[in-house]
Amino acid sequence: MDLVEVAKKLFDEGVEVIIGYQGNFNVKPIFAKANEVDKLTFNPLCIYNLTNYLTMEGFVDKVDKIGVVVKGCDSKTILQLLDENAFSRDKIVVIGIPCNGVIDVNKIVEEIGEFREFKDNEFKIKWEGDELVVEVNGKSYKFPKDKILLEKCKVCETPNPVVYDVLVGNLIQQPHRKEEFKAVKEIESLSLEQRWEFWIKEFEKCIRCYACRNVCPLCYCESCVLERLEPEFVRRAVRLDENIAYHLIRAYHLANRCVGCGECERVCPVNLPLSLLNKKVAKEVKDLGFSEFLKPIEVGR
Amino acid sequence: MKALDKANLDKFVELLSEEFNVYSITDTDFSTDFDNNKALEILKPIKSAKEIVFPQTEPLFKFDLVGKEIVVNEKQNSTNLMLWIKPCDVRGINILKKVFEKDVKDVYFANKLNNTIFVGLACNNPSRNCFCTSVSITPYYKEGMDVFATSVNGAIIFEALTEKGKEVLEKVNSLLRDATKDEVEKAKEIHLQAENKVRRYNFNTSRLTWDSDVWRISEICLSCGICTYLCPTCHCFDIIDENYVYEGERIRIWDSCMYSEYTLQASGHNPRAYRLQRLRNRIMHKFVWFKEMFDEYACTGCGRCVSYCPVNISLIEILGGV
Ligand code: SF4
Ligand code: SF4
Ligand code: SF4
Ligand code: SF4
Ligand code: SF4
Repeated sequence: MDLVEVAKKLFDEGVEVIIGYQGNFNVKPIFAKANEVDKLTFNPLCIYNLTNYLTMEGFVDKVDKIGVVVKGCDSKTILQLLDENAFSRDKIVVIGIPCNGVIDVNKIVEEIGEFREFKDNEFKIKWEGDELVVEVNGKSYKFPKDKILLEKCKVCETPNPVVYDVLVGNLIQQPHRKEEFKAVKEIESLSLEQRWEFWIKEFEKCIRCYACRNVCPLCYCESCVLERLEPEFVRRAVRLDENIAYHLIRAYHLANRCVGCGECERVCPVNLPLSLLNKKVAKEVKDLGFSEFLKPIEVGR
Repeated sequence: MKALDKANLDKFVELLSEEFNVYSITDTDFSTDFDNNKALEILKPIKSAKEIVFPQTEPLFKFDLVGKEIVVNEKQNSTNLMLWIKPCDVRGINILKKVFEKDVKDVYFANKLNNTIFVGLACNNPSRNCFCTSVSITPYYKEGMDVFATSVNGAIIFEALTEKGKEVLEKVNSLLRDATKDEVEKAKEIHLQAENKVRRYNFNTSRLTWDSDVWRISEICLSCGICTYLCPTCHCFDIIDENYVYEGERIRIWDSCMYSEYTLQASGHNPRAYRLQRLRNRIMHKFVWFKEMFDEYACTGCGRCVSYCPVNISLIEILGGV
């Protein structure tokens, strides 16, 4: 069954809303109602981790049954959220999509080198083996996977959803990839002064727009320490010292919880390497004898 | 009109730096630490130029928590020069000027504006999300600039528009020559080419009603600060005291009407608790209320909010421009 058929069936069975993707070139999240089922799509531009919306403005408490479309990486968030009792399992129907990797749309525009925005109906995009095939108004372009894939997808260990109620498409047999913390190790090999210099340069750029926090499906505290004025954990002045405080708090609050979906880094308007920070913490956690996220693995006993 | 051969660009910047704090374009923002050749090529930085006259964090004065001393932050005396600022960013500053100079003049803003010289550059190569021509400016709009420049092949040609601008050109006079007729013609051509390249929309602001369906897009909004912080015309701010152990400081910082805490009142009541209310407020302010007040849109068409919205919410679509 394809996505729309699956969705139709779910609506018939009492799902009220499906959080999915719409559009083709101009891809966006959508909160689809039954009459909008035909809008639901999935293609290599479906970059967003939609699980973030479940807890936003208390959505999961307002609706009885919600469907949510997840890729492999996004599905890990669901496990983590359930582990934290963010909502009960029977509230949601997980529509899992085995994923060949996603791409930043700007990269395509850059590669094609065309100025204009494409209309959804004149644009086609799909994976064909190790190639991405893009068709625009009859013209076709091919890109090798390695060149165009998002970084996080290059080291993705879970292209298949780790939790789902319905699966759309076939499970993917891909050569087993492994996160080897290459970038973290590189940074770790620098001297303390060099590392300090590296991070200062990055933290200085931060404009504290909090997009990295707001896009994170695991930053969903009802009252965030960042908004507290009494006591004020992080001052509101946007300066290096306060920025560092913000980033340390964010990273620590996500230790052993961050699932590595990469959304925080993707949305940062000034390109802070947030995944590097998250992965550093993840590596520490792993070295302490815990798996990078989810439950502790057995320690000692 | 005067011309500078690009081979002399380094010397040109050097001469200007003798007298001014020269800011120019980097990938991220306007900075004193820029690459001369690259700055000329980058269309616009991720962040707009508003920071120069309206910094994200602006110290107003310091106070002593033990004694009674108050130290007002000194007025800046040196002059900033913004090199290659683009029409839409200058337009942004013109719009801020209306706000900060209505009724009471904001001294902090006015002081910075008075101390800044704008050497603007026409856009040769507008980007995918530029739509300045739909909000009544062009890629060669000059209002608010002191010097207006156009990059023509191997040279940059200049036109001084104000007294300050004349002084700037005087300062670098030794490097300038008269522009040739061809160059002047070519510049006009470049202006029109760029204007034609910018995508033009017929915005339909009558669809921006209180309970319109267009606001439904707010379902996917993340309430982040990207669209407001990058926008050259957004100007919400907050004034707070930051206390340290023995001293404190009163600062003005940017705020964002897209944050849920923005309108949270001490009573706990929040008149704009939902994203729909906030998104509607931002767009209505720019395209309806500001228009009623000042007879123009509070939008320069720079396209930053469209390019950088993490969930692809587009003002152009909201305004029915697709
Ligand atoms: S998204 Fe980037 S700029 Fe915004 S708060 Fe996070 S790190 Fe800072
Ligand atoms: S911290 Fe970043 S990578 Fe980790 S779960 Fe949150 S958004 Fe995803
Ligand atoms: S509203 Fe968007 S396009 Fe308009 S000036 Fe602001 S950032 Fe630029
Ligand atoms: S919006 Fe217009 S003025 Fe601004 S960069 Fe684009 S073309 Fe230039
Ligand atoms: S940038 Fe996009 S997601 Fe962020 S507040 Fe603006 S519209 Fe919402």
